Amino acid sequence: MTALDGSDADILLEVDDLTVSYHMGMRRPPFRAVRDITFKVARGETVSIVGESGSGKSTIGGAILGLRAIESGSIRLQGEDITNAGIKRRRAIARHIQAVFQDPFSSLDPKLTIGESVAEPLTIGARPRRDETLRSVTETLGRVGIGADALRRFPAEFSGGQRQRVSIARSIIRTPELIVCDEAVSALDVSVQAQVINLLADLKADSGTSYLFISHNMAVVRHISDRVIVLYKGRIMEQGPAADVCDQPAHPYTRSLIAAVPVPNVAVQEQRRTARSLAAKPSVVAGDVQDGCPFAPRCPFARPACTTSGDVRLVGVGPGRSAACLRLDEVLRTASASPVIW
Amino acid sequence: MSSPVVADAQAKERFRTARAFARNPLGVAGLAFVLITSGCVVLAAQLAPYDPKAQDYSTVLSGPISAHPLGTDQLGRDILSRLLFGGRLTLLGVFEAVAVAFLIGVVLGLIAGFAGGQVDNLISRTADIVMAIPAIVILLMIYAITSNNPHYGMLALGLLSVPGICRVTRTATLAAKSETFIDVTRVIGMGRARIIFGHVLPNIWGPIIVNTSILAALTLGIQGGLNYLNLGVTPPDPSWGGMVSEAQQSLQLQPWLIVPSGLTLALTIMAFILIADAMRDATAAAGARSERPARRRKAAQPAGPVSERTAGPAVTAPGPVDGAASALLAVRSLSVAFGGQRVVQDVNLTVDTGETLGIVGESGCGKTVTASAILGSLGRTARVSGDVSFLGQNLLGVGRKARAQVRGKGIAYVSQDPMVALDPCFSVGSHLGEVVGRHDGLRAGARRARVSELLTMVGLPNPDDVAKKFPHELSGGMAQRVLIALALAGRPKLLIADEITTALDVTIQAEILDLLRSLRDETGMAMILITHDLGVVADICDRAAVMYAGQVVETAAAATVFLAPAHPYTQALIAANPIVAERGRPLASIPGSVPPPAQWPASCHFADRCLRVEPVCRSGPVAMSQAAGPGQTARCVLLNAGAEAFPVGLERPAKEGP
Amino acid sequence: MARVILLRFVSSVVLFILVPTVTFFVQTLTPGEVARSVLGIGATQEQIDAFNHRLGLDSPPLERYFDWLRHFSQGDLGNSYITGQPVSEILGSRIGVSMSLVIGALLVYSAVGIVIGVGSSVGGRVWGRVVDLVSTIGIAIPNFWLAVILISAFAVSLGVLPAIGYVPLSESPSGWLVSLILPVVALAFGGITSVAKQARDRMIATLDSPHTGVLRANGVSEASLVFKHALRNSAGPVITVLGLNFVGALSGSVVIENIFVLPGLGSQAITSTANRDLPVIQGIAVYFTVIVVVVNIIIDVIVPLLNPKVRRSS
Repeated sequence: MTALDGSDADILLEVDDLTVSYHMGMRRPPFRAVRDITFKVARGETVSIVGESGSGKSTIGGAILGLRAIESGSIRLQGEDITNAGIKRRRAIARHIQAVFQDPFSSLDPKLTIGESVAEPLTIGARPRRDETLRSVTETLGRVGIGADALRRFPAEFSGGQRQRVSIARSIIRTPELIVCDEAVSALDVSVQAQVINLLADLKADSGTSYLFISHNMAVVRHISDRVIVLYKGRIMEQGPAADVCDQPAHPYTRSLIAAVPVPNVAVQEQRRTARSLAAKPSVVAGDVQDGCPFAPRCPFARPACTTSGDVRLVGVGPGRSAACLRLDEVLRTASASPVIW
Repeated sequence: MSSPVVADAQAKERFRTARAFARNPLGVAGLAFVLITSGCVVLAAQLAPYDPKAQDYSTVLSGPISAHPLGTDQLGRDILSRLLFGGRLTLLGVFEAVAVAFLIGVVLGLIAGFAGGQVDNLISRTADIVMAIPAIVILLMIYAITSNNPHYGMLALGLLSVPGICRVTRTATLAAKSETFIDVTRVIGMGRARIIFGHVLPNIWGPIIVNTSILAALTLGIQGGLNYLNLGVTPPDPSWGGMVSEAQQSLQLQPWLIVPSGLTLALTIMAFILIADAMRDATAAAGARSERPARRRKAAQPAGPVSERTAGPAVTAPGPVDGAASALLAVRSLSVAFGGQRVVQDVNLTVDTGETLGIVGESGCGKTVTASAILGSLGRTARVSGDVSFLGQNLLGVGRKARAQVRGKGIAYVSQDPMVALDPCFSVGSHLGEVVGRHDGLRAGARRARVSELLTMVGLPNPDDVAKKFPHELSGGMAQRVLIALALAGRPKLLIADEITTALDVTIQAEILDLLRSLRDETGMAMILITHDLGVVADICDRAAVMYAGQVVETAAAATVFLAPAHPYTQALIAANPIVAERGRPLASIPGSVPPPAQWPASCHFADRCLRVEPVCRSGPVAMSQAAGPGQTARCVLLNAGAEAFPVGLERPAKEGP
Repeated sequence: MARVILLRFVSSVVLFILVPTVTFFVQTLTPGEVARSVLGIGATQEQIDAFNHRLGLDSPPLERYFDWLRHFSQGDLGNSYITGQPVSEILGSRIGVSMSLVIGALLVYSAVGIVIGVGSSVGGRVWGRVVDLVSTIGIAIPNFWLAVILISAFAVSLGVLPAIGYVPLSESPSGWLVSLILPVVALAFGGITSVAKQARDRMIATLDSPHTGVLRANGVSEASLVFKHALRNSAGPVITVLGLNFVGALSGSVVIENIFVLPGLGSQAITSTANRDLPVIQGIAVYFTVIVVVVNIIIDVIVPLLNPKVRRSS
């Protein structure tokens, strides 16, 4: 976790100026899901991308996993360009990058046994020996807390939490350096969610895996991450060490996102609510923003300049930390006056 | 698949659909009929008592007699023999047409669904055009130019039927492709062929087989019509359709003749339909097992239409209501069972005027079923006992009319997932206007004014513009506000809100909770909030009822629940929340997961997951008892054995079960 | 919406060109046949050549095709090989019969199907089973067999309705109606079941949907839920099925017209096919295509009007 955003040689994944668009039909303009996204993931690091629906957070994961076509920008894995890699390249990349997705009920093919699903990554482009595969699958399932009796059973027999464990087993069986977790714990109940979060932490401690953790849940992100990237409407609003971003947010959007999380404590929640309503102020900017800060129409700090002076670039606000806001000075002044209570 | 684990797989599970089909007697009968008929037809030469073309003028139009079990026609030919031989060309033709449609249709459908984009566009548009071709004209000509060849016509019919199979395959492929496990195969670098044959096809056979079977039925009908016109089969060669035509010529002399051929045709068609129906049911049944539980979408499901039209759920022992007069709503010993399986047990709740009660718990704990029982929206399969008394009236005992009186005016309801909770065919104004008209009897201008007022109340600027919008034009937050306006229309005394912020972004959730709070203060209505999020309870509720596995395990003032939770489940639930945990330390998770109703013990439901479980916990049913806080009750036998000794634990269980 | 209709129009144009083109080339694969079927088996080669020359059948197929296409684009469908009458004249007198039959069937299967479907959707499980059973039987009975049974029962045994024949509307409205009863019933029967099934499935789906639960819980009456909300939500899919059935009934009319000896397009199609009377067959193909296209456009217009969500997504 020494490698913060910067020059360290131990960079696993580099995403540069990534832009992904969706075609909305023949005569409609393409929709830019994310624009000019740049970030790095170091070995052994957990980087979270947090944002609300429509922020484009899953699109970034999809682009890295080869599920979305990249319009411009590049993605490098251990220095090697993997932008828009074809199926053959993907096979090689799959050794290094794996994924766990949100929905535990559609992540596993209902027609395959648990054993078959977990073994599948081993059988891509290879014909492993039967006993080796069996040993490897059993051992991996054991690591995620699933017994060997599950091998020959089908996903329908398992609960959401168990299926998510199986999905994790499938993702780690080839010991990848990076696992993209796209809302991997979002569909789970709190008690099961805690189990899976602990499991991910244990796996990281054992094998030094990096996670790109995509989530809408600020509380989970705060708990699990080394670094956090806050996304809004396809742009990075703020990024930096998790403790800084979550506990002393610099960007007005991050502040509103954190302030909106209800906390399970009546007294604290009341304080948070009061602070939130004091900070709430209608924006002076109206309508959709084409250029400039996309958050301006919802931002209490906004000025007309926020939407008229072109793209708002990320500027440094501390070690390894940056935010895209023209009014950072005032925001930070307010921030020190009313810190975030968790 | 070369994986060694494959060989060990239990095949019976894999053929779940086939087994579900085998349990359907009608489907099996249909399949048996088709197989037996095909067999008889193939063996016609062995089975037929006569040459199908042999004329015998001594017995014409005989009707069923021992020598001719199905009778003879006007030329004295044996009907049974003609039926058997006639089936050859008939069934062969159906096979030819269906095979062509199936092979080409499935391939094109897979390509269109899997490739998408322009390829899909081209295939789908072409299919649309072919579908609009008047097939009969083409067929007539094909028979004409091929000198009535029986095969070309059916092959052409197969080609013209390709679009139907193609469409079904494409739709099913698209659905399969949207499953996450297909994304996973791409992430691990699996080749296209293996994705299609290993993961897509095995999951889409159901609808394809259903539609192929229906196509076989339709083809039999069309082919019969053509044969009736002597197209495809030239007399004196027999065919089932042609035999109907022959029978018609002697309709006045021997009406029986139209029975054997027509009935055989009808029964064969029906067999294919039965196969299709059984296959459809089997696919649905097999799918239902592997589908996700209806997590956080359950509210709508028990609210089936049946409850209103029939006598409603069976209710036992309404009984007199005691001491409920003071409370707005008093739920006493409420139990709900589906098919003998109790899903809610002995729930007691009260809501006072103006009070907000939070019902909190994980999925599968019975929160939504409890709410549906209060709303009276459980289907008739539900067995409800206990009583639900609202303003002193036991709602479980009253008739339909009295119940309808309470809806909207007494108790109103806001559901989860606002995007599907409004009728897509009607505008916002139309929705609100209808309830306003019903509750206030207002018309025209007054009604519009009230609609505007309601929309303003829920914080929607430009209410008149919003009223003109249709549900699909609203964002999630706006739709949820409209739903709240809908619930407010009857000026309810109690609002039941079921996971109303679960589908929303956290910033929108905060806005909706603020709105509910101010509406509550304005109107003085009471609320029941059903949620899985303890933060929501802390934000807005006066009191909380924690549910676990069908039971209420703790009730207390909201502040007490978080500061001094009495029940080990409540404690564990709070501790498992990442907000509470220290960064970088493991979360205090609860081992295992909520057990399904069938596995609930008579004793403490939480005992198997409880870190403090003792033998006494498993000795028998646990009742609610008084805990330390004012008005705090909990369902735990260890409660009086030192509740104070239970801190909100952050320690981690030694061993997690799977 | 305009885009949908435009798209439909473009594909219709393709269809207009495609269907006659296919019929043309399929038919020209057997050039000598026409003359033979007109002149009889005993015709000499000279007679056949003269016949072919008179009708331009001796010119190359491609030339004839473009010739036909030119006339077609001007609305001229040519003349019958057999009678020399203009095709539009022959078919013009027959289209009324076919439309009476097909539209009559449409009315019957729509009305009966929707009533049964809606009724069974609110009638509980027993009604649902009954509709399922009747549907299966309904689909299973081929229309031509039903026609023969109907003739046997109502014309032969009871003698209350005519077995065959057609009375023009202009001659006797009541006779016209009576002459159409059996053909219309035979043609409509199969459609009733699919319409009823679709209506029932859509009604039940809507009545089970979250929005029905919300509206009911907030005081909307049961009558409004069924007859306003569920009916409106079901209308689009039901109308789509009505359209599909209409196209099916058009094909079915060929058989039914033959059984009941109705002088419509269908019976003409059989006769002309037997005679290789290409221009008439082409004409019938064009007429059928026009009817299908018109029906599709009507559906394209109506369905989005009923469901604004469809309006947007198209």
